Amino acid sequence: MSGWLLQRVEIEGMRGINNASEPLVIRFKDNCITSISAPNGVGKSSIFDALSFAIRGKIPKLDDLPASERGKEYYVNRFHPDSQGKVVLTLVPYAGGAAVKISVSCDSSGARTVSGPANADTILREIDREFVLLDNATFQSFVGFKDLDRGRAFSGLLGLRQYSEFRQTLQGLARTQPFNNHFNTAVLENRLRTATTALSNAQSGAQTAFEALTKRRLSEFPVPGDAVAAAYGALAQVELLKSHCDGKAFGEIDFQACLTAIAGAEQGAERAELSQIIGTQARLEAALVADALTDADKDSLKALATSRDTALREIGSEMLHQHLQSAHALLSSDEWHDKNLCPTCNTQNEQSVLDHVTGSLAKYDNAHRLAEEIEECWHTRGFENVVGLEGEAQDTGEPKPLYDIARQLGNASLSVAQVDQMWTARTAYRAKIEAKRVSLKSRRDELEKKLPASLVAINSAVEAAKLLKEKWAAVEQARGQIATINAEKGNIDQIKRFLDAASTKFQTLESNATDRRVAAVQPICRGLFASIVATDVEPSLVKQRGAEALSLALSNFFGLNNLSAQALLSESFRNALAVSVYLAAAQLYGGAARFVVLDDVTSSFDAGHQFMMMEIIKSSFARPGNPGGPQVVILSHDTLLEKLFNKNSGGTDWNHIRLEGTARTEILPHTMDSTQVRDKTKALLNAGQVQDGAFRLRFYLEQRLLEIIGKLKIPVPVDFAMDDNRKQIQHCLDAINAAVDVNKAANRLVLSATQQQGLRTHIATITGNYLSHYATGQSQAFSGPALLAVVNAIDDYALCFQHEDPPGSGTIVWYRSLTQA
Amino acid sequence: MTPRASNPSATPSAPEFEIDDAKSFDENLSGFLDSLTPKDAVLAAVAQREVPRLVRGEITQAGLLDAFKQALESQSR
Repeated sequence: MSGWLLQRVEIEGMRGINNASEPLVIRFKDNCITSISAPNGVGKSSIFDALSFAIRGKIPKLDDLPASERGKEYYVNRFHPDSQGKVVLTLVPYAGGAAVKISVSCDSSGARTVSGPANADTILREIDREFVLLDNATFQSFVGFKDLDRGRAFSGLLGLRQYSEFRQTLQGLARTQPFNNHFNTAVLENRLRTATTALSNAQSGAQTAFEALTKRRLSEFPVPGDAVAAAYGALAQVELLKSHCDGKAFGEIDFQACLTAIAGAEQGAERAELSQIIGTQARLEAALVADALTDADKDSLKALATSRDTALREIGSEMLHQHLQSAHALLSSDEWHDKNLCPTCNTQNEQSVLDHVTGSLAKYDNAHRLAEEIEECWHTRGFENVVGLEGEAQDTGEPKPLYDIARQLGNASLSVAQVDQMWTARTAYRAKIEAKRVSLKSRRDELEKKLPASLVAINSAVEAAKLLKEKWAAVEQARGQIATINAEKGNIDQIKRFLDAASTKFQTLESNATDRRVAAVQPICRGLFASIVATDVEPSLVKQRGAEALSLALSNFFGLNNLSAQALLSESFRNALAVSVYLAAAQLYGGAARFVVLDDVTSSFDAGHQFMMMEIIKSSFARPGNPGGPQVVILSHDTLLEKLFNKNSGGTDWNHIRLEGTARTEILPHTMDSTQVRDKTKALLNAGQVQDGAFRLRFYLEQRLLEIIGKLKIPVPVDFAMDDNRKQIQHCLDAINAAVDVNKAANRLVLSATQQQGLRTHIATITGNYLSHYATGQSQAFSGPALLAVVNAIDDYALCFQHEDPPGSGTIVWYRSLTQA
Repeated sequence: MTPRASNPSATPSAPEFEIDDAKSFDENLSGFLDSLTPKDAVLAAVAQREVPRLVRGEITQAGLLDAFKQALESQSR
């Protein structure tokens, strides 16, 4: 079986662990539960945080602080001289093999650097499973989550996080709005509408010109060969034009040369003017025909513009829009759990901020949609032709406001005022064109009376042929554009269908896998829950097929069925349920992470339930009780649990470590050799660090007194472990004194008279120089030399419980008890 | 008109892909991509090549969409 076990962790400069130059080192046995206990504020959760940073690159409790608190700057211990944190993980392959050492550094801004073997990052990603680092907050939030968030967390527990993320990626790829945005389908649609309008106009113009040239109707596009032949024939039969047509296709005829020939034949500037008038008349006619708008068209456009103007009044600037989009993305993410907390002003609201932002964005979407509808209406109803009308009505140098309006359509859309302006201008342009036509007709009539009729007709035919050639070219160009756009649209549609199908298929696959795994986890979860709570309550994990949400229900609650777990379960039972879910998932779907670190996970339990949970972990969940189970590390500040840890620690399957120290100096494991602790204490005192030395001295005194109690099997009161730690030393001394006094009274005390005298002398030094001040918190009364005397006194005090064995050998051993040498 | 008798064994189809719990995500992803519809062979080929890169963060979603489009355009040229 693959995976990794935790062998050792070194921590320096992280959270509440300074340990500058001398990292806190904790060793873990791979086939053994490791419990670590410490009083409050002595680095226990800092170990959890350091592991979280090393494995995940983040410390959620700091990351979740308001941005103004700069949580990441608190990753590194504030007293570390270099403001650098470091966590070194030593991992061993579950199946055996060489250990790997991965070093993770943290700078003062919380940035993470991983070094070690080439695959260090990969290993860290592999072991980053949801149940590797579990604390009470994880369990509480799991039960308190909304069903959707819980379902997402549960996917991770089932080893399906990557599947869930990939499904979401596929859904994101196939989501219509962003998909269309990526491919600019709105622009493509506009291009298609414009090309379609251009095609329609070109066909209309071609039909008019063809009819003028050949006196026949043209109704087919692409243009059939006989129509081209008819157009060619209409010119080629004219004697004057024959030489310009011979040997050429219709499209190759030089119409300007034809017109020049006609003008030359008549030798007059008036012929040129007539030719120009005929051309202009054809253009004006085409512009008027193309503009087929009605009042109903205008009313439709105006109604949309009115709606959009109203919608615009309900929204703010584009900058606000972008701000709302950013806020929505943040609020919708898994990282922002409290949807009632405003990410901008950090205000806690009674209503969902996400709902509010979603509502505001919907107003922007509405305005955007109306702008698109206006643009579509503009193109489909042919309002563009009004711009063409303007081009013909306005002479060079005259303003063309409608051209400007049309050009800005894609960006700023149309207001009601602009629609009205456009319609008024349209009426004026049509009237102006009509006036031009009247004027041109009058002049043409005048010229045609003066000029020979035959040449007038030829001139008209050439002008019509010239226009026909232009329109046919325009028809082909528009048809080519439409074909290109449709091909592109076809490709995009094919991608969309492909992604839709892939997304749907993968969603089904993931649902199937989830169903299988929920079915496997359910009985184990129920078994664990029953073992912890030992009552007639049975939980159920309810997951709808194809949905992400996961509900927690009670299939049995003291005989009642199908009730809400969140509504009925007490806090401790809710925690028990969450613990059961996580441990069941870890047992089945551990993956590469073959270890679990539990931080204060029993804090909501009473002593009985704490005991039950520890027994379950020991006997059926963790190695070695469950040979296939994970390696478990338990962090706790609970002194009752510590008694249990101490008791369990006697065997080979449990290793207990107690921490002592301060965030300012060092955190040290109690398993550290007492000589090292003494030397560190003396070093601090000799360096003038009296306050830190005094704290370390307490650690040393406790260590030595508990060593005496343990070695000589001295009985202690039942509430011994629950004592205030300021009084722990005094209680140790009281227990030892009481045992000495009892055995002395019974005349069974094995200590020599000199040793008994020594006890009193050394206790006086310890009490006078240290204990009387420390227990009352008057630590400012300490001095370095006085505390150094206490270090010597406790060593001499411990020697009073030892003797030379055999006499004269120089070998000092502990008495077996107060009554036995 | 006589209804035609169905004979599902006459044209055996490829077995439907299912996630194998004993396999890694990468292996299952590969199996899923291989199972994508043959009628979109060009897109399926792009998916088989590019989606694992997307999952590893080597390309973006926009990059994948562009790769799909480029493949279809190359095919039609």
